[in-house]
Amino acid sequence: MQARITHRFFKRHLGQLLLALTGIAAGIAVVTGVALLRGALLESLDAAGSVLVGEQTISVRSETGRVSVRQYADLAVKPGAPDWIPVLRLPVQVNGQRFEIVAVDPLVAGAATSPMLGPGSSLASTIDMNGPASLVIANRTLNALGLDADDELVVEHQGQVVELPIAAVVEGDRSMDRRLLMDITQAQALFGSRGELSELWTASVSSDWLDEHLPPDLVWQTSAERRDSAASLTAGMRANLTAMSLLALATGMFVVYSVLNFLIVQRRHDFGMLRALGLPPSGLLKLLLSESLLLAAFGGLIGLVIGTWLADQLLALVAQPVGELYGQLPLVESAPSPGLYTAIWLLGLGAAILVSVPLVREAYRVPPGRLVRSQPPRGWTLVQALGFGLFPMLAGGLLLLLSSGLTAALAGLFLILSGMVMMMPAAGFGLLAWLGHLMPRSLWGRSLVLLQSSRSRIAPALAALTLALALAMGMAMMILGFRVALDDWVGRLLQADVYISVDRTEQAVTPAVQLDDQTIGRIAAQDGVAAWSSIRQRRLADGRRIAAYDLPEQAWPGFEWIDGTPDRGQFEAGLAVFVTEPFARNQDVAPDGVIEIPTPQGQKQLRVAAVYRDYSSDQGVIAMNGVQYRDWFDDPIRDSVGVYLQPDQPLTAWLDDLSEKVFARQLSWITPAEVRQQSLDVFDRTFRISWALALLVGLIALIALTSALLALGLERAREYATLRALGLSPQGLMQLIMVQTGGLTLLALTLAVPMALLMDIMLSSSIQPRAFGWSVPLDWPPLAPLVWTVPLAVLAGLLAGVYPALRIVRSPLIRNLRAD
Amino acid sequence: MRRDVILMVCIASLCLVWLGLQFEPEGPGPVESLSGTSLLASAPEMFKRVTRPEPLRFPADHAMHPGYRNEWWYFTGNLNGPEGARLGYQFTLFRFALERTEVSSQTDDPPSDFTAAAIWMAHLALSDGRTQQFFQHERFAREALGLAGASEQRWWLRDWAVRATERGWHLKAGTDDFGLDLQLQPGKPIVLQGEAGYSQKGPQAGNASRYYSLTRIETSGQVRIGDALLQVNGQSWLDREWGSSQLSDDLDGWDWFALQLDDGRDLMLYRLRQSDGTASPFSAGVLVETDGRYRVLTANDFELTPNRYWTDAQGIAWPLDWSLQLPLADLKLEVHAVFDQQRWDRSVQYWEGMVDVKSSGAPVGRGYLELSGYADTGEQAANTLAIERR
Repeated sequence: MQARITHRFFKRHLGQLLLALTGIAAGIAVVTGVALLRGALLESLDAAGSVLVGEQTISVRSETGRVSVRQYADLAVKPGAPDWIPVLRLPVQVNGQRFEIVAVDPLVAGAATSPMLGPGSSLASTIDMNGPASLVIANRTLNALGLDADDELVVEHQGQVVELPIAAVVEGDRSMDRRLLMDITQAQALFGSRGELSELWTASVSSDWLDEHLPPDLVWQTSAERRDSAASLTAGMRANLTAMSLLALATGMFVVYSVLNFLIVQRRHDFGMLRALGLPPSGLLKLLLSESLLLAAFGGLIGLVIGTWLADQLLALVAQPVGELYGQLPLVESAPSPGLYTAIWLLGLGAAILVSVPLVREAYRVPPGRLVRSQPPRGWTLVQALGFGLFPMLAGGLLLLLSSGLTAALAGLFLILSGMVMMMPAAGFGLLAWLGHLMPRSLWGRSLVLLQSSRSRIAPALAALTLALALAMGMAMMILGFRVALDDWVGRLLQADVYISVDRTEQAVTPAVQLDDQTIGRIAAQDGVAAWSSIRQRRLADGRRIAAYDLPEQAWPGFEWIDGTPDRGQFEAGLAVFVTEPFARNQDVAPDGVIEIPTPQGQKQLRVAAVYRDYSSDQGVIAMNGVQYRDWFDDPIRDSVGVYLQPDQPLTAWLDDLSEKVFARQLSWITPAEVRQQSLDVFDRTFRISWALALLVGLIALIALTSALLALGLERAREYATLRALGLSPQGLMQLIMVQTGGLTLLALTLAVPMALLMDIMLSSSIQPRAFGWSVPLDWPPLAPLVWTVPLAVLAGLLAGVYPALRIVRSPLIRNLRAD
Repeated sequence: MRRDVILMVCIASLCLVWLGLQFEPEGPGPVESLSGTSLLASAPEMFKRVTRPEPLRFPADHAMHPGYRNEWWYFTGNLNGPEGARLGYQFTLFRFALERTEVSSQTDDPPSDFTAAAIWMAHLALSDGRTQQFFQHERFAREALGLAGASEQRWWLRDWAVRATERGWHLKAGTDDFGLDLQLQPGKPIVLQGEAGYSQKGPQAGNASRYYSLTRIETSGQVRIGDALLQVNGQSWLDREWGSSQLSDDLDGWDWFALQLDDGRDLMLYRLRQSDGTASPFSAGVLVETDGRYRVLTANDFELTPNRYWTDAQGIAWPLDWSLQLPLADLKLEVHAVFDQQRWDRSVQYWEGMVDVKSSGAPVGRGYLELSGYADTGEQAANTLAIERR
């Protein structure tokens, strides 16, 4: 019988059913999408090496970044040497997406099957060593590119574009995503990368052998160690994503609460009847819980489907920035597991039970035989709300103050937001009452005061709406504020007039010119040059990055010092280094601390003199003196040279001279303005995912708004009919309803703005430094998100009022008067 | 109500099926493979053929012969360890020349450090008669960066090497599990197989190889099993062979016997198996007398009959006990595998192991038996070396 009751009710209120399902599905979809994305980011992290030759893979890399082929050959013939697989990794672009060619010598692996390629496949049987250059690609990657096995892949590496046929399509595991396997001979010949290798792999070798035979500049790492260090790279990004997805779920659950709440209001009469007919309280509990669970189960399934689709869309958004920022390749598609699906689905069920508890309590209060609607209990008073809300806010604040971890900061943010959400309804209705009193005799004033009577109905919807709007606006403010900070930083950093590097597009294979002392001397000898700076970047084998600088007087204002004393004398004497803010935070070093740098000449120790602002890497950079670096690493090359021209020297003429007369187009250059634009482009790509999440939360806000207002309009049908009967014209009624829905939206917006500002401040000053290592200087928050959100929300609010208004205006008065 | 329930169940089922498909494993992609036998049965035109007898010169012909498709240096041996331990070993270097391509042909200024005219495979195996354990390990390398090669003085693949010494060779090769360190001293002169080293194996021009052997090599040194070092001595056998497309297309494989008799004679026989199971008329052998004189044998001179088959874990039957008749030398012998599990299961699948030679049930010698081509059919096809995949 209960099933029939439920069925009949939802059949009559299909709109509400759909809204409830949408709320659940939207929340679950965002959680699923982000969870899968997290997994995709985590799973693919540099797993290629670890699974190509088995889980025990050991990888050998060089302190200098590249292992020379000579070193490989020497190591390979040493007594007791394991089977070393030489590996050359080449970053390439395919269809505008970042891919990687992993070129190996398949022969060494012999018949040993490779988990990377799929069951039963060995490198030797899969990679064509002797035919024309060709690629091995995984099924999934091929599908993601929309290509067939007969197609050729257009691959671009450092400006060189080649078309390569596909030799074999393998099942491949996840580490084959975005990776193209190829024979090392063919890759070297094709891309002109003789002499150097990226790393060496082997399935097993004793640490004793390695310690005895590895030259000092080569270091080894097990696959587990590699995975750990790779995973830590994106930990901040993943934690942020998770937090945002849980907030989205919370917002979605507010929608569900609001809809279920409304459904209970609609059925107070039914419940009274059922109780009068002998349904015990436990029967009512069973009925309501099974309805909630059914809704959550069904909506959750739909949410899982949408979330899986969403994950792949998010993955496409994030692929490029992950590659650019972390040097990692995400999967081509997410990798769901039955366990993950079940966990998220159960999370949805749990959340549904949670939101049902207060509703069940309310249904219990309906006495048997109650056939008319009673005034529902009023919500908290402002004082009560302040009391209840302040507690979690204080707890959250304490958590933020006392702990320096990211998880604690996210938990603190949650608590503070929860506290604010608790205060929102009381604050909102206080504001509403005040507004009503401002214009006591107008229709507008009365419309707003009328809302007070539905306070407990509107409260959850108002809270959901406020939270969703605040989340969307707060995230947008943080992103835009950060963008401004980045823009300022780039503007300050780039003090030179132009930055010069070797042109790899014109002569991609073997550049005839290298940026060494001789070349720099020729550049500096040009007329009009006042000074020059240079930088050489290198990733150490342990993943830390060094930037070796030669800095003239003019370059020093480019640093923004955060901590310590920037002792130039010590830096230039090679006695001290500077580190970036993320480095200091990640490695837990402070001024006057000491860091160790492994060099080909052994371990070197340097004092940290100062910490400076930097947004170029969330892992951080050690800035050291160029002369010292070249001495230790025997690497005379620079990545780029900054040229400071004399004040009267026009840049264009100087560049023409340089390129045409001196270096015959072998160099390329970039102006600070172009660097700035490129940096902002990278930034925008990086924050695409945050924008996407902000948009999703915004969408959920819209659903919350619509559902709340529709519920409100439908619930108050009887009151509206009474007003009509008392002489209010249809136009007047329309106006009243629209004022109410528009007013509620404005109310939510008013409450959301301070909450968004607080979120912006917390994200910028607390979450960002803990997640990425850098802080964002506090400044006036950008107001653009308000400018976009306010009109959109008000418009949505008004539109959401139209349907119930039209329905009431058009339906017969008598029916609405009788309605309960 | 029923209709609505059915509708909901249908939607939920669709969702579940769709979600289930997300973690269904996908079917495997095409991976081609090549059998070991086919490596010897075909060679592109660019490779030199062995078509007639030519004089062999030593030590020059100990070195590799570029231009031919394949070549090998093949040691086998029966060894005696402490306390009557019975051991057998195999160490082989195979050279497979690659087709010349844009990448491999520019040898003067190769576009890649790994540009190679050939790839090398080394097989190292040890049979422990005490425990009936068979240790095997294979290695590959390109003929580049000094990783593998063969000169008059040294034949090597990385640190596995045979170096010429004053009286013979020094063989050293090993893995974590086992290793050999053996001094080898030829006890008889070089035997030229076939017609002065021209060993014809099929009817077509080019179905032939250059083939010479050292059938009795005094061997002493150390064998390592795990961390245990065993002092050993015994007799080894070296086969050297090179050519292109030496096997005709209709051959399934071969059974090869290298037997050292207690009376000082050595007997080599190979039976080339045709697709119909019969022996090819190009099967052949050699009987080496105690003083090193030898007589080349043709297919009609001997008869080989398998007596017992051993079926391995993959269901492949290998003939491990044989009867052998060589009327012209009045020899009636039985050949028995010392133990069954001496089967290679790496890139190329074959059986190669030590055997006992008996006559009327009494031991009269020892030797090595090689069985090839039995696993080259169906799913058991030797599964790697995609040298000629295209």
